[in-house]
Amino acid sequence: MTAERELLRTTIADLLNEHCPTERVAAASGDNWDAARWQTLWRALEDTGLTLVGSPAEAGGSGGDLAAAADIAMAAGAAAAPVPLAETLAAAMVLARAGLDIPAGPLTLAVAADPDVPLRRVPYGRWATTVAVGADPADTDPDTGAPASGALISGALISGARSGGEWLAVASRPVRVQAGRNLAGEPRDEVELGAEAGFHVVPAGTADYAQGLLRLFRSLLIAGAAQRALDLTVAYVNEREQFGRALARFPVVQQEIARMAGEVALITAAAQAAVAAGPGVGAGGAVAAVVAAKGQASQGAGTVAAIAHQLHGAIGTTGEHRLRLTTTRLWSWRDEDGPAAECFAELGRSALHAAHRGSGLWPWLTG
Amino acid sequence: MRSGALLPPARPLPAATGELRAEVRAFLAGERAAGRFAPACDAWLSGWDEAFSRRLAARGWVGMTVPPEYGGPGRSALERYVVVEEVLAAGAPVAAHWVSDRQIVPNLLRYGNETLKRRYLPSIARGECYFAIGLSEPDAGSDLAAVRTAGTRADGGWRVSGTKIWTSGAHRARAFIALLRTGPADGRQRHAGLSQLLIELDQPGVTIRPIVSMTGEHHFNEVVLDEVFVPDEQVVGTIGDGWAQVTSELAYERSGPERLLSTFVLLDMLAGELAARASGRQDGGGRYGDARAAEALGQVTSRLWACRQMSLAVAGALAGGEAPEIAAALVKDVGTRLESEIIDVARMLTAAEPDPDDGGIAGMLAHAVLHAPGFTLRGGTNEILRGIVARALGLR
Repeated sequence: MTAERELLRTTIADLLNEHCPTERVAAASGDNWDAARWQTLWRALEDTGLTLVGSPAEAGGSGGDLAAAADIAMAAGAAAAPVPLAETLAAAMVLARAGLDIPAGPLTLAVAADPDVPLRRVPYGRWATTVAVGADPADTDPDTGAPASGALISGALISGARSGGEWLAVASRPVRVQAGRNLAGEPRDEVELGAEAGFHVVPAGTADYAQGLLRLFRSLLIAGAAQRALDLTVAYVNEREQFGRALARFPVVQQEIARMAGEVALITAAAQAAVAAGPGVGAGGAVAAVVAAKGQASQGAGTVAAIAHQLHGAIGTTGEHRLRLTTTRLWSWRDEDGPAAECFAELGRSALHAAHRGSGLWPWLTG
Repeated sequence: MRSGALLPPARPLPAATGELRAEVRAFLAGERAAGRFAPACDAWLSGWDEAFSRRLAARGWVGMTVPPEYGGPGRSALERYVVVEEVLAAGAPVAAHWVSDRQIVPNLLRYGNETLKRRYLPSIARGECYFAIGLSEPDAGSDLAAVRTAGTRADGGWRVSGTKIWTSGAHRARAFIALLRTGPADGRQRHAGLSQLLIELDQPGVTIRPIVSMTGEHHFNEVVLDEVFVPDEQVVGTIGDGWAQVTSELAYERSGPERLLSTFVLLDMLAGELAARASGRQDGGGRYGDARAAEALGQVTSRLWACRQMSLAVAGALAGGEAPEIAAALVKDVGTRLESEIIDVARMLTAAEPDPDDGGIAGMLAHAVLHAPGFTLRGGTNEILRGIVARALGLR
């Protein structure tokens, strides 16, 4: 661990903890998330450059690599910060990769099939500039899947040969936004881009890259939240006494804590490995690290949340307790950006392809 | 709240290990093609093949970290990790040299005196010298500090008496490394007074009795020591430091690839069968028709992939001189349970019933099912490990 990484981790954790005490986050966890309450935090994040880490300075980012951006996302997950920090990091990276300018303010990222169909459950769509990426189905030959010479968007052909049929829209003022939320009260809004959105033709592979980043950052948020759930639970079983001694003294409690730690470690190891591998699909037919990481995070999140609640007893289920700010996120995030079943099915098909090729699973797993 | 990291940071294997991996893979493919071994589950416990050990050693892949002055190739712990992964993933018979390679080499390099190093390391690196481990006793299983085997001082050495149990391969090994009491426990310091001795097994006073497993295989033994003379030069490390020496090696023992790959060949065979079944079917239900099978396979392979990343993170930290105790214990807990989960997935997705006499997946399944209870027992039961994890996390 370099001193620089350690400093970044401390800086982001301290900043988020200062702005995200339990009562403030709890107040934002119903159907009343209010942008005005989070402007100060967002400005503090922007002023320190933390919202654009991982995107190169030439594109308007703060520089730094994916690992640094990952540290920030994990911290955001741990703090249950109700701002689109991970979303902004990811969206900026997509824009930078496509050679586009990064607009000011909070961003959110969505992958879509068709720009004319409203995007569903976009994180913070009411507040952030929506960056939507997709491959227009009308733009590819239905038989061969080969790209046409341009992107067909909202009925107009945007020329740009060899585009791979992929488009990217930047909508700072979508034509319509319908508010929605997840279990933690985080905004999950329906966004209609409209013809006013800035459409761009982008290089082939942008949509896959965006999809990979969405899964990766969601996995990192889960990893941060899972670690926090463990920390909260360890602290609780040390404090709480029953039958004349701390819960921590009961072997059965120790066993459950360790089982929880195993899941947290698996989630974290998988997310870290996906960061190292990058958000691309597996090279040469190898395991797609981001898919495996999200599958693991999605599956483990439920186990972690269940053990945390069981060991906290009834108090953990109350509105005023910190634990639910973390567990409601785990329960939402596991189904966002690739639920477990979707990731496992994708991975399983990839495994079967590897087996079918005759080389077996091992080169695929280690590739 | 600042949390302690459960895991050391991810450190990818050095790029140069890719070439080594390819060499090992090609060698193993050649061995298989020549019919010199058939892949088996848990072959690091039950696949005793001295000729194979020697062939592997001839390539420089046994006792890899032994330095040239002791007859070894002097390669890194991470290079050894890669070789071990490859042989386990192939289900190759590595039981003969397993303990020598995993336990004895690092132990001797760290604690061994010059005589011991010269006596054993060259033949280990040739794949000719096999060891067993003498930890458990009839009354000391999970509670290892309760060992009663004891050495009393004799002229130029120790006279050792006691009984060790579950000593895999003792009936074929040259020697075993025993943890025994050479001094009294010091009040509440139960771990004081323990020492590690290397005891040659072919000598008067040593009786080795087979313990046949429920598979019908004989790998476990009971080793009875009756006034066995062990010269001072066979003491490993320092008299009285046995406990610290044993526990310092545990991170290696708990977090290696053998804690997640014991049933890998079953998973591999299952995937092959599913792929063959799907490609032979023209029901229009997608290329691999059965979506449920793909999902179940994806679930278990994703977990295996994640376990491997954990194991790699620990291996990287160990190579960097750290001792990530919590992470190592977690690898064993999560990984060994996964080894059994693989069996359940195979049972769910194949029509075969376990059949000890079958040469295909039904036979492999039978072997795996009967070996599975051992996965979460050996090397410290998972319950004991979870207790260690909880305490290390600060449970008081």
